[in-house]
Amino acid sequence: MDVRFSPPLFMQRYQFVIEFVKKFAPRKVMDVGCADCSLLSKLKFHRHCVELLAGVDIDCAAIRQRMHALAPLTCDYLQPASRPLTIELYQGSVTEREPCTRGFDLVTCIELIEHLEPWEVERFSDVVFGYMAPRAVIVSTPNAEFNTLLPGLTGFRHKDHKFEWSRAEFNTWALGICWRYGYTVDFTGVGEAQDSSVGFCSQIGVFQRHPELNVPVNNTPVEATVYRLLYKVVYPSLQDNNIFHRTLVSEVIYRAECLRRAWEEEEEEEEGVAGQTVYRCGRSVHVPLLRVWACPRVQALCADLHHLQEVLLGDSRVQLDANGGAVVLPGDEQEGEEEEEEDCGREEFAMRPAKCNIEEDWDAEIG
Amino acid sequence: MTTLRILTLYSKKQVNEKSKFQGNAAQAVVEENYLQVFRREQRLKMDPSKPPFPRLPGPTRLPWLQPSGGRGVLADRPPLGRARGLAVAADRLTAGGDGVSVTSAVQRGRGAPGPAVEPAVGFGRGAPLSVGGRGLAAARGVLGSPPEPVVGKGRGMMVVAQPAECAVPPQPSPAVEVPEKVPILQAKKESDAPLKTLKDVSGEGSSLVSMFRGMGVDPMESWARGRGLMGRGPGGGSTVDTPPRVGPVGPPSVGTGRALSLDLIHSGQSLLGRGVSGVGRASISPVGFSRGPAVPAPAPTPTSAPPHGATPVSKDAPVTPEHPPTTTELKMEAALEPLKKAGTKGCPVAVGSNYISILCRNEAVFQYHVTFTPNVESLSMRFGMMREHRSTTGEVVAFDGSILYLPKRLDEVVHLKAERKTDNQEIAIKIQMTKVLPPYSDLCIPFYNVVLRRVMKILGLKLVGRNHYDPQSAIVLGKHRLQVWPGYSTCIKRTDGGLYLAVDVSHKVLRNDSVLDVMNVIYQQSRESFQDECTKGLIGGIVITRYNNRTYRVDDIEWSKSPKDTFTMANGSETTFIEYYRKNYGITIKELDQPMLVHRPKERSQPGGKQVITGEILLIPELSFMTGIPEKMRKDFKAMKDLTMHINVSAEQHTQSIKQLLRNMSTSQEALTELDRWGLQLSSNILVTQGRTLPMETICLQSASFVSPVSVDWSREVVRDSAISCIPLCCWAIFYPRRAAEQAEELVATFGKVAGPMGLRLDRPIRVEMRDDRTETYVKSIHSQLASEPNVQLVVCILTGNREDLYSAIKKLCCVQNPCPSQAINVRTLSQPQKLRSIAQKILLQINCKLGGELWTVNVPLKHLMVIGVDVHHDTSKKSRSVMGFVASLNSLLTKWYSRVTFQMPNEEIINGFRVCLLAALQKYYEVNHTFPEKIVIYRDGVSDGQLKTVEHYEIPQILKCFETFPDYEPKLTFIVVQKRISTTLYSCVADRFGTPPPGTVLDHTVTNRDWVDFYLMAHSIRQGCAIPTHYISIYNTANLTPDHLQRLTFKMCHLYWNWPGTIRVPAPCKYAHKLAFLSGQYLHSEPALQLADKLYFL
Repeated sequence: MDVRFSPPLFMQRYQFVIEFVKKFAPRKVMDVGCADCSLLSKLKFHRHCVELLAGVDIDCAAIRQRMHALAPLTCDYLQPASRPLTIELYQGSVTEREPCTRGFDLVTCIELIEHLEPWEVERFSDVVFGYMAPRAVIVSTPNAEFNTLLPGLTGFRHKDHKFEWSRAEFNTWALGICWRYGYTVDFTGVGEAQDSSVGFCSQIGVFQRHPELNVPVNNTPVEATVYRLLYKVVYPSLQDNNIFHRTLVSEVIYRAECLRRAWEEEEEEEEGVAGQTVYRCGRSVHVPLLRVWACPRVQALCADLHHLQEVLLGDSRVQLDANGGAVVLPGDEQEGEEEEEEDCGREEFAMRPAKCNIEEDWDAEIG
Repeated sequence: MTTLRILTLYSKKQVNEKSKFQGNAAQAVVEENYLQVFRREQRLKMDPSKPPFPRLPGPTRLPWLQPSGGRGVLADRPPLGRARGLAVAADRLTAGGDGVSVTSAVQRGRGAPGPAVEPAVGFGRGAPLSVGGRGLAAARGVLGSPPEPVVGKGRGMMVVAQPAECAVPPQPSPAVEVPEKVPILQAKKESDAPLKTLKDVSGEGSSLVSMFRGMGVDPMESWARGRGLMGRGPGGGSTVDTPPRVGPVGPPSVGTGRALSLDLIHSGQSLLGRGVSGVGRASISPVGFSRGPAVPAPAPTPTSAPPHGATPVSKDAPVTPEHPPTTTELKMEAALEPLKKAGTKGCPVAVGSNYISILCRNEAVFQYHVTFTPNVESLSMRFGMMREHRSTTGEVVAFDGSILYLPKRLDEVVHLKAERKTDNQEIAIKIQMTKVLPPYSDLCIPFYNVVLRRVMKILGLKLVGRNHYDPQSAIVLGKHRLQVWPGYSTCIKRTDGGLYLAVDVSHKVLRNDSVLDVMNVIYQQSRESFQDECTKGLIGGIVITRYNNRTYRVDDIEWSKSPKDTFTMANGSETTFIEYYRKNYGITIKELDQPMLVHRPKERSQPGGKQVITGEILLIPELSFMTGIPEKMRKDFKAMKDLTMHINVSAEQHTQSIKQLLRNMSTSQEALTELDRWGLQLSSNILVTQGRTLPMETICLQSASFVSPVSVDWSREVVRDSAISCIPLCCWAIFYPRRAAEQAEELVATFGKVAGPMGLRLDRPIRVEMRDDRTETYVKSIHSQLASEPNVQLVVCILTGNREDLYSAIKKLCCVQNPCPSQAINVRTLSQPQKLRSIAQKILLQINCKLGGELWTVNVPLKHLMVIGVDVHHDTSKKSRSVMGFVASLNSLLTKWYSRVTFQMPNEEIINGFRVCLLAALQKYYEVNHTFPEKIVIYRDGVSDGQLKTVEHYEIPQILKCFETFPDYEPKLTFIVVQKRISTTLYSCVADRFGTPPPGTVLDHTVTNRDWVDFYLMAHSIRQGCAIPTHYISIYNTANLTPDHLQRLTFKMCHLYWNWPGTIRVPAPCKYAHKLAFLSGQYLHSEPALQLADKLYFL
């Protein structure tokens, strides 16, 4: 029997996490054992409510390999997202307590624990569930019972695997965790075989902390960080005041210019509601703020007209009129600034006679 | 319109948008990158049909002009010479087995002899000996050790390396003992003699290398020795003494001589404060050496590669060098004449350029061959297995599946084991060293560029297209809904001067609108012609997608498709676009009925010869963002001013940006580490070297002549005195719509006033006033006028507004159907009375050219010369054919031009049309002069670096064949490629401040290409922005024009564009050809009438 999953199994695991993120709506997600960050780079697209994505791996070379792929895309700058997103990557071990790993909503440990020595699993459990204590944890690990279906497989699926658990073993471990740290667990998996008696190819436990249990308060004073920050990037978002202002001002100016152009083409014919028409004042053109605000793009950024007014009043890139009711656009500069430099000093050149050049003969030089 | 064009400065730096186009962006996945570049390299190398490039290998160049900071420390790094020699020695090892490496060996060996031997006699004596002496002294101690040196040349080197090793630590004996100097001098003298004899024997000036070879001495070896001594490491010292021991016969002593002379030069240099190098930009003239200009080619930076702990190639290297047959070598050497590309004419001037020298600190880069037994087919599995052995290979690896490059020396043969996971088969991996490359070898440069891209990423710059930009410093132009991102285009390359980082400041224009937004705007503006307008506005544009950082060129719009359609994914399953983007990127497509954009990737053979799947790529407008300047904005003078303000940076700002990048690199530990992985170290200074300003030319009118002012602007002069020849305008017609009657009247009156002083005779025109300004009205009026009055010499049309269609209709009529020179004038240009006079003068000059008059010339002291300009115009929408414009001079004053146009289908070779044009031009030349031109100089615009070889091997033979059409006709030919879109900029450099260099500035060394005779010439004067010179590459030169001739002829030709009373940035014939091709491709869409071919009707 040829066991081939479509989509591939790792994709199914990622998809499982993505679906969970969608339902569970965590704000802070950490992928433990992130390796080359492929799950993180998926999650950055399917972020829903995620505002902090962190990755930890003990292998710094693996992280480095593709970490720059997590940087914002060009388009993230062109249309900043409304929610902030920060991505942080750490080198460190999950058997160590690191203060900055606390307070996460979701921690994922995809195909991780089987790489730990059995004695390390104990510490891992304590660190992840006891110390980090996130609201939810997803743990996936190979299901040893499935191995019989994998042709030609002797021993473990990967030579770095220290163990592969049967469903029962996994359940035992998981229930122990729940009992000890106050979690509930759901068992599921990805990669189904035709013969459903062996279970999934990858078994997954989804742990959720009892809501009534508070995070164990850590009384130890500021602990030293043990992880090494390898990479950190903050995505541009409208939560950043500068970016918000810049985006808003751009939209306002653009909208105002559009209205002004439309008005110029119609040559002031339209007689609209007072205070809603574009009008000329001196050399500049006034565009009522209300009409600028009417633009869905502007409204999407700033739902409140007064807020808009406030922002614009505090920004030097846009000029409002005295009562703040209209955007003032400078009038057309008169033409004629084309530079036709009247240089007087040039006369001398004109009068300079040609120097008696020595007759050159390149033909002779070439020979 | 035409008038408008006159007024437009030609030299305006174009926003280099188009050049940004690229199909297959450099990818982020670095490993793969390595792989790709790597295979490309391999392919190149393995191509047996590819003749060896006549390249000058770095080490053989004379180091004195080298302006690198790195040089300064050279003296403190004694072991230098040893390792260099070593690297090459090892390189030699493979020579026998591998044809390619033979080539490279030969190349490397060559180049040195000419300049190297000679200068030693010139100035090497005496002074510099202290250095050499020390090397020698150090060597003394180890002399005993060379084990049985007379093994053979390749081996010889190894032998040399061996004592070098023993000599560590060096014993620099600072005391220079006289006795030690003596042998050197003697050796030198001895060596001189055999050299001379050799020269005589070899007869036809074949390069010294061949003599060495002839004598059975491997130039490689002697070169290496020279190197050794140069570096004055203990190894170097030993090499000097070794040869005599090896066998005091001729050849070795020759070797000594060479080594010594190199040393002398080198030390001489250090004593003399090594030119420009120490100070970075002091630009001390190298003239002090009075060596003439032929050899200012500076040594590459890598010379100073500091090797530590180099282990010599072990003697039991399995690949014993076998010498390739001497005959092959001799054949190769014919092409290896050192390229003489330096001119002397003009005033020396300090120029800066946007190059940063790079020091290679690695002793070498090692090439290994990796074999898997039993064989492992899967590449990824091979990668995986190698990755498991990082502990052996180190982290820095470039591996393509069988060839492995490391900056690290492994044992000669390394045996490793791995397990194939699929069947648990144990796989033996054998890593065998095949080559030791100098760290600046061409093979390594692709890896360096991968490293560079990584560094740019580390600095937080975003890759858009091919360049990196900084979104943090984006300039937002809200009014136009676009952003300008400042950034850099960077590339590591090896030039005549060594290894350099070429940095150009680049700006990317990105738009805040998705393509869908743009479509919506178009829809609102023109509902009826919506699809047409979209086609016009979007096709040819570059979009960047929402979900990755790739850029795509829009080749078509698929109106019948929508995101609801399905496509087949790689695994064979069908999915809709909506579903695909939702699932993979979490993007919800809002507009379900949008059409799709089509991108057709260029057919490209993938590394390994595999054809890439060349299907269409469909893109969703909603998820694509436009880049580049919107066409509408391009026509909006004011908007462009807003934009160019940010884009056209001055030399000062340009250099500031570059310095900022260097600062950022040098302060980022991560970036430094990355560079250090391959042993790269960047200088902290922008290259400053010495260029020249060519002599000013004398402009000749009919009787008046004057030296071109420094501002290279003679607009006053040309309207004050008579042009060389003026065509009396007796019968001409002016067409204007009724509402422009007044302006037409005024224009005619002004013409009358200004024509006299210019020497023009101008009669009253036939006035044709039209009822309206519709296109048909114009066409009908002109047509009936030309029919009724066949003697009309000129048609002048006053146009209202900027109307492309009208312009096109008039030009079609007057250039194709009823051939007659025509002048279109936009009424707006006539609207300002105070400028009317000068505008009328300019129009009259232009009219005179169109009628066949001649305005001015410069003296070109070459008889029976024909200068040809060629340029190609590509339609942006790419659907139509490309157009070649061809312009050839017909007289000795270079004032009569013959022009032709040919159209090519997309895949058609340009040369076919070219031959037709050339034959016609030669015939015309014969008609005029009753003889054929003896020398033909062709300026060919629009050839990229990658096409140079094609031009050389394909186009030029065809051109030569063309001459055979005429009996006994064998003209001398010079073929010069003209490149305008280059990333090299030149700065003037006065008291530590960078500015724009004066017109006529030429730079012909250091940053030039090792494979060709080339130079950079800045002929035009810069009013705005940074000085981008034009790059000229002489591909073929049987006319034997010297570098001075090439440079000055080119500069002269830049004076002859009659639409601009000053110099322009390309030779006039190229500019004429460009105008002609543009007119034909953009407006005529067919070949213009042949009757006009001898007039500049297209101006």
